[in-house]
Amino acid sequence: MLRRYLAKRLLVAVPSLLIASLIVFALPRLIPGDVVSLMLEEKAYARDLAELRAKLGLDRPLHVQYLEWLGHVVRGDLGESLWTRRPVREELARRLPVTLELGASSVVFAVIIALPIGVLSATRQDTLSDYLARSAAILGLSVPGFWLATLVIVLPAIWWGWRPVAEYVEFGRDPTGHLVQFLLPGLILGVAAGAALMRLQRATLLEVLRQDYVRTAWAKGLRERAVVFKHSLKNAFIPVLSVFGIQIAQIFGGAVIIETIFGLPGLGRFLFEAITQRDYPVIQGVNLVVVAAIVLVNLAVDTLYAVLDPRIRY
Amino acid sequence: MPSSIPASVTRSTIARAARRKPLGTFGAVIVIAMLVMAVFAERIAPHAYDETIRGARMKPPSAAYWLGTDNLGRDIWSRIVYGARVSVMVGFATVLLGIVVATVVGVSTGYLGGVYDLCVQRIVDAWMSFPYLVIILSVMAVLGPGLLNVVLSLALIIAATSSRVIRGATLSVAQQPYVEAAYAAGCPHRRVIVRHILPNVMPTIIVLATINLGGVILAESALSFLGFGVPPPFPSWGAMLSGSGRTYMFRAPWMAIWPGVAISLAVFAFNMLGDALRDVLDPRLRGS
Repeated sequence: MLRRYLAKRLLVAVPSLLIASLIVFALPRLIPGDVVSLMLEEKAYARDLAELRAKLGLDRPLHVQYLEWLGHVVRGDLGESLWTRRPVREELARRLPVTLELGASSVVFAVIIALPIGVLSATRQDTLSDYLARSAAILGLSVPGFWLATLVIVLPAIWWGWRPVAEYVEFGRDPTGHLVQFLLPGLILGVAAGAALMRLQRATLLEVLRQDYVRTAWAKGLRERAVVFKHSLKNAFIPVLSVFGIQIAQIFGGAVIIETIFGLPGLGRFLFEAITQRDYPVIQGVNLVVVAAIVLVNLAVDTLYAVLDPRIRY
Repeated sequence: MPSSIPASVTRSTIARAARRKPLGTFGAVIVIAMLVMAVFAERIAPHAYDETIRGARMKPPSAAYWLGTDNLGRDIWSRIVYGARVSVMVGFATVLLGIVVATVVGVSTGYLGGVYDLCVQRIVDAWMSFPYLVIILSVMAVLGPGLLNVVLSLALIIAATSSRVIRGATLSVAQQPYVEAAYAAGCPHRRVIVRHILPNVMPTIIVLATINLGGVILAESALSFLGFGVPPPFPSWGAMLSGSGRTYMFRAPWMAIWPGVAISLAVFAFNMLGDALRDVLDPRLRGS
């Protein structure tokens, strides 16, 4: 059963990935022709218009371009940066770990924020602590990450004269310093994701707590801890898990800004620089990696909750 | 609701709403204040948004300049008042456009189903698997910066995510016995959609619109922060936080603090209002 379910999920993931690749492919093709000549004047990406068009792969029929591009992508060839002339794949491989570390630390913060507050808020529904928690969650969703980042840089500087290091520390040079530099940006990215997870955690736990088997657990005379943590939380966690894929996507979106502010040489900052320089092969490469990663995360999440809850088989 | 209700009834309804949903009412008050600021900016702001006040560069907040002045000697409070205009305009235009597209797509796919539904949903899937900021920035890289392009790219995101929810609501409404009864009575499809499906999906649509407004204002500020929004000197809250706001943030922290407060408060208000509206109009959407 599980195997059939997984096969089905994989089958659905493939067209999603193909359509996503089509979107990634189509974006630079939407550039108006005069922009190509503008790029030639502004950035001197190539000797003449024909060469630049060839570099962007705009010089042949569309379906040929797409298939050829896809063929290259499948073999791991993502072209080279117009700006630095280096292979996009190499640059991606160097920057991906930075973004993964940042993402992992923000996911940890998000869960640390969401789980305890969500459980507290649901088990103490409509009390003062519930109202406070819910307001705090909405606030967490409302505060822009780039402003929080500015505040954590400015306020300590004014109050204590302390400024975070603006330079990226490599793991080999200073392992502790390397990990510590992800704490603040990770926390800032984790706040919004944590707030969203907390709201969902609260809503699903409330629903589970009203079900018959939970009432039975109470009637058996079980303690609150057993009812909430052993009986309810596991079922309440499934919908929360299902939005995890979406949250990871949003975390990456936030990483574009946060990496730029904190000077972390990750994928997000790479993408932002590529966009300001109209470096299309890089934009395509980053987008493709990100979309593939998100589709894979969603697939993993689906698998995980099929394992957690044997009733789930579409 | 008939328009002949006496004023006292309306007043007591408002009072009851305030007691039942204090947070939602708080949100509504701030939203109204923001709308007033946006519409009457010329009357409310003590200075013009681009007026350089002589001898008032980077003054801290005071009685004369409530929120201080920036590096060019412009009054920050006045710029925030005018900045509400950008947020409100982008917010409402985007949500209107996005929700209209989402309604057309959501209702048609939910109602018609079949191959059409399957294909459209796969495209929505693919679209939604991009982080929204990434897809917007990529679209902006192609279209170039500017307010209209911000609206277009944000509306695309709203349309995709909301169409999924509206489709779900349409599916559940289409299964109701009264829809079947309408068919039995010989109602054509167009009439079923307009008279039976749409009115019953409307609460979901209204709630989605309100909830999305906060998110759109937040996204607009992020895009302005990155330099893709309205061109200077017209102020937008996000843009005030970038550039000179960041350059002088240690010498004049009020330049970087107040615009952020404005964004947070506006988004907070829309989210609160959206939550309260959802509880009243469409409890099914809880937790989304």
